[in-house]
Amino acid sequence: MTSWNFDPDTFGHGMDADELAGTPATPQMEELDLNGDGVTDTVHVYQDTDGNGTYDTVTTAVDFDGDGQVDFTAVGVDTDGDGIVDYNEAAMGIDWNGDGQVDAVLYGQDADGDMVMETSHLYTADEWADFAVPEVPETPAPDEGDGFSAGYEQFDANDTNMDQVVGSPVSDEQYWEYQGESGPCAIYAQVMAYEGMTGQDIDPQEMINVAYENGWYSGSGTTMDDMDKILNYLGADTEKGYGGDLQDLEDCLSDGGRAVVAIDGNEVWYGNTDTYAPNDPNHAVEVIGIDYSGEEPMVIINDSGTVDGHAIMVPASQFMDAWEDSNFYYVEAYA
Amino acid sequence: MFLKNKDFFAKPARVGPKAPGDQPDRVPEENHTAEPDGQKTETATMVQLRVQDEQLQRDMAFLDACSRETGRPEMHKQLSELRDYLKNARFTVAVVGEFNRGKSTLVNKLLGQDVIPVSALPSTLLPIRVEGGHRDELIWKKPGGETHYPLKPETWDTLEEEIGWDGKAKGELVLRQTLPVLQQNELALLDTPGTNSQVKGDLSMAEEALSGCDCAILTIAAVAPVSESELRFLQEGILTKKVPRILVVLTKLDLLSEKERELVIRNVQARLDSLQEGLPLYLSQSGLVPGWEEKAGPKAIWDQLTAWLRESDHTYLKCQRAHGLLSEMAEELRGLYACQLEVLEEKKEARREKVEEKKRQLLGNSHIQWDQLEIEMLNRCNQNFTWIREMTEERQQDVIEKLTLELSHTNNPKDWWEKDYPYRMKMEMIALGNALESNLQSFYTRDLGWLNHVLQEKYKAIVPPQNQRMADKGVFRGARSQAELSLEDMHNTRLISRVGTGVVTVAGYLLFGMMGLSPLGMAVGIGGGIVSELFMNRRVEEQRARLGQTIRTELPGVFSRCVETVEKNVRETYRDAIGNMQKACQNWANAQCEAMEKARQQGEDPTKAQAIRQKVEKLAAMIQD
Amino acid sequence: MISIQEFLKNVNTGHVVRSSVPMGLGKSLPMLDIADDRLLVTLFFYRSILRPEDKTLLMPPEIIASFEYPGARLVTFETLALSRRFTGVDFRKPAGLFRHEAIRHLDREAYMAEKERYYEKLNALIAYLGGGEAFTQQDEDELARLFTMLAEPGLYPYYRAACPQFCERFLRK
Repeated sequence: MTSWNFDPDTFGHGMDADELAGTPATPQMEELDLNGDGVTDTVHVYQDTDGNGTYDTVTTAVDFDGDGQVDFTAVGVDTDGDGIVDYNEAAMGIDWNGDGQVDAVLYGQDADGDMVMETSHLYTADEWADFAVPEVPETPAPDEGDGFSAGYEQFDANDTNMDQVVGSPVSDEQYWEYQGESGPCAIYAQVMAYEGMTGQDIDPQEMINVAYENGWYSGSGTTMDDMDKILNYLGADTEKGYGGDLQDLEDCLSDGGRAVVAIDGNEVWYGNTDTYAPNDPNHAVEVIGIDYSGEEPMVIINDSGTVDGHAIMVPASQFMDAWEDSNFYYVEAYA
Repeated sequence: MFLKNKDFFAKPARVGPKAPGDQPDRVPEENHTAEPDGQKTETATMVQLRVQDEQLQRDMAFLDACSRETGRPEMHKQLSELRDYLKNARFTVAVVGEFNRGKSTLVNKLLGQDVIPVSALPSTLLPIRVEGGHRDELIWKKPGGETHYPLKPETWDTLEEEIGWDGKAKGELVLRQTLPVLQQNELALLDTPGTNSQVKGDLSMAEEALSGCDCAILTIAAVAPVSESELRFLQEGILTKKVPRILVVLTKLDLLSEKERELVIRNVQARLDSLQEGLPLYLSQSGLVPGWEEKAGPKAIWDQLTAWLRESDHTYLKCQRAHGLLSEMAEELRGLYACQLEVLEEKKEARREKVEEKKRQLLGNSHIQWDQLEIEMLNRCNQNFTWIREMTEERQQDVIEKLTLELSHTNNPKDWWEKDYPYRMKMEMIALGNALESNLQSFYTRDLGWLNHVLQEKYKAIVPPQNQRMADKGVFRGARSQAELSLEDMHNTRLISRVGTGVVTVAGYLLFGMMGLSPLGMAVGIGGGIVSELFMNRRVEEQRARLGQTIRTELPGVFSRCVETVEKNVRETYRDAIGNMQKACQNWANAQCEAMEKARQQGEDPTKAQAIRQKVEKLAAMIQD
Repeated sequence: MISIQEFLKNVNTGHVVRSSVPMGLGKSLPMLDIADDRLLVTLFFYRSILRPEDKTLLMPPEIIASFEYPGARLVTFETLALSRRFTGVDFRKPAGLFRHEAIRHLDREAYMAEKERYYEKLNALIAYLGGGEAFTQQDEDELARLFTMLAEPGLYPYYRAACPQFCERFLRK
């Protein structure tokens, strides 16, 4: 067994279990200057992954030599919720010859939290390079594509009996915007919902910046927990939870509210096309109406994820299938 | 979740067809020797031939793992053959010999029936295993599967066509016979292709057959007795293979004259004895040589075989053979691992030397750099001294001039000396101290900044600034010249003088008045006063001059004492910084050396060497004396 | 004992995904691992960017997480962008395209059916690990076939990084 002790000054420094207990579940970043040179050399990211109000995961990144490159990373997890980290995983770059290049990486796991690595492995640079991204055929970079058209039929007030339609899809459709190929679907959905309720014109990019600053948007996406934050920021009242159904959506829309729901993107994005994706991501869309005029109710949604996603009509059964994947998670908003 | 099969991932992956020896709990074991009920198990009279020795199995599994690890696939193959051998419940007799030595004939004679067509193609190309069975049939077991043929005369021709002459055919022919002699005895006869056949691969077939047999019959033709190659085969192919039972059968004796027969037999016996004494020699035919009746003819041979078959030490011999083979493998593997260990040790030594060399270099280079840094810091410190001296000298002149000027204006030098001068000096020195302090601190900060910049760049270290005053107020506040001068208080003197003058005047007036010389008395009195004033003024001047001199001579001393203290402080501060620098650098060097050492140790992966060492020990335990 | 399908559903609706996995990231194929006598299900979360004509971009994974089976309790959570292991990865560049060659012939339903078969083989393996029925060589080969076929070649390095033992066993060339 290889023994490799963490430096307690470097690991888990700064916040103990008492301090951590009861802190809000928002991920928190702590910057430390361990060598006292006035430059941050260590960053701890505390996360409350089980949502119980106590941080249980701390990711540590240390730049030992101040070259701006992270030399050491560790992830500590409190798996049993007693406030003490009991699982650690760490990787440290080793520069054998001092040429500034990492020649090997020491990677280890400590499964019982005693700060001794039960398993560790020294990867050579070549082995480590196995993680490098393989060559990919030349394709336009993300956000440079033409977008994807789901090929859905759009809601048309002339083709239906408006008495049978809940919500205000005609006006709400006007607030639809395409999010591009990146991940701020929840922010777009919230902005569209707020605009629909108030008639105000909100710049989604500005809200992305707000979300970013407040930690509701990581640059990659928004978590389901934060699916109402922008609405709150703009001043809307919200309710959120699991287990919604069509009736809840109808009630919300009838009361002048708007609903943002988390669905399996794959099941709605690909709509009527033959294409499919390998994974099934959670995706936020705004529900702007339900049309009960046909044999099967149609749920009308503004989907910022596809280029033709405004006021698209998804059969209720298909919508419920997609919604089920998030256990019918939804946010109701009222201006 | 409670895991019962938690070693799943710890076991090696099995890709492709199932390898022998795999975990029986996960894959239903195929019974390659499946027989109809009744023939499957040994009868009570039969000797237990199947070896079930757990330790042996464990040893084999261990050697198998070692062979894989050391890249010895042939050893893996040997082990798998050994497993088959141990598993085999039949007493297998391999009939081996060179081409055209009457092997198939002997088999036929032993069985009392021509079951193998003599000189037929198949028997010269593939081993034929003859064993008891439920029905007569011929099976060609090939690497990819097996083909069953009904046993008819034309079958051999069909086979001949399929096998072909190109020597590419692989596998073994199994001839199942309902012969009572086979059914009653758990015995199989294995007719092998000639060891000197031109067809490539035949020798390995014979050797393969030998590795799995319990008894070897080497046939030697009397017409060409015991060639060198036969002897070599007996030595290398049979004796070293540790076949438990060996029997040499002299065939084709009938082709010789009676006289020749005995000669040949003696010759053969002698040559065999030269290899190993006591190898039993039999004649394939009976009634040809007198005195050999007990060891001549198929029946005699058969009796010997069945006697062996029923010997109770059979499984023991089997195990012995297995242990012997394993011991050889263990020895070979131990050699390989020892070699690996040696390489590791060598590498370890080389790595250690390299790291030590790197450490020496690092420390050597670092020390030179630190010395340079120290010299530079001391230079900077000395530059401060030059500045301090220039600055204080200038200030000293100013102060002397200022004080002497003040002194020149005072009427009572003693008073000024005692009351004003200390205060003035104090103020001047404090001002000087402050000026020095602020400048020195800024020089120090600048120099420390420079040092830290260099340290940060080269050693990722910094020296914390010292909060130490260099021109301490205390030094200057108390520093003043207050020579113990016995100065006359000119005010009092003047008063006394004036009183005295008055007294003289009155006395003079009275004296001279009585004498009628009053005005003179007055004059004397007044003159005395004037003289006294003049005298007084001269005394003040003298005092001023004396004090001025004192100031001029003593003040530089005060200044220089202060400067010395300040310089001492400055030196100490810089020394502290240098000390801290050395400490930080040393820490850096230690950390570097430690990291190198740690990296070396990690690189050595002591667990690997340890694991190999354990394997060597385990293998050593398996090696027979 | 719940099935792997139900388990994945629980993960997707559990607090870890809700609070720590950005929407828009989807799950990889689940892999099994055993650590400290505990059965873990490891998966990573990555984004796929829709493009027509089999040009859907597969972005490098952002999160690798392990959950204890069957309770779905989080055991490890690694943010790849912060991990020293993945400093060589440009997370803005795609790691591969979808559909890859091995599944190009599968339409959506057929693909889902193969995935379901994969889940069923995992269920069989889980049952065996818990002391249930034998997991035969045929089962093992079939699981390897399905995993190798379904796993996206561009993401192989990440599968290996996330669960080396599983991949050593079941990711075959």
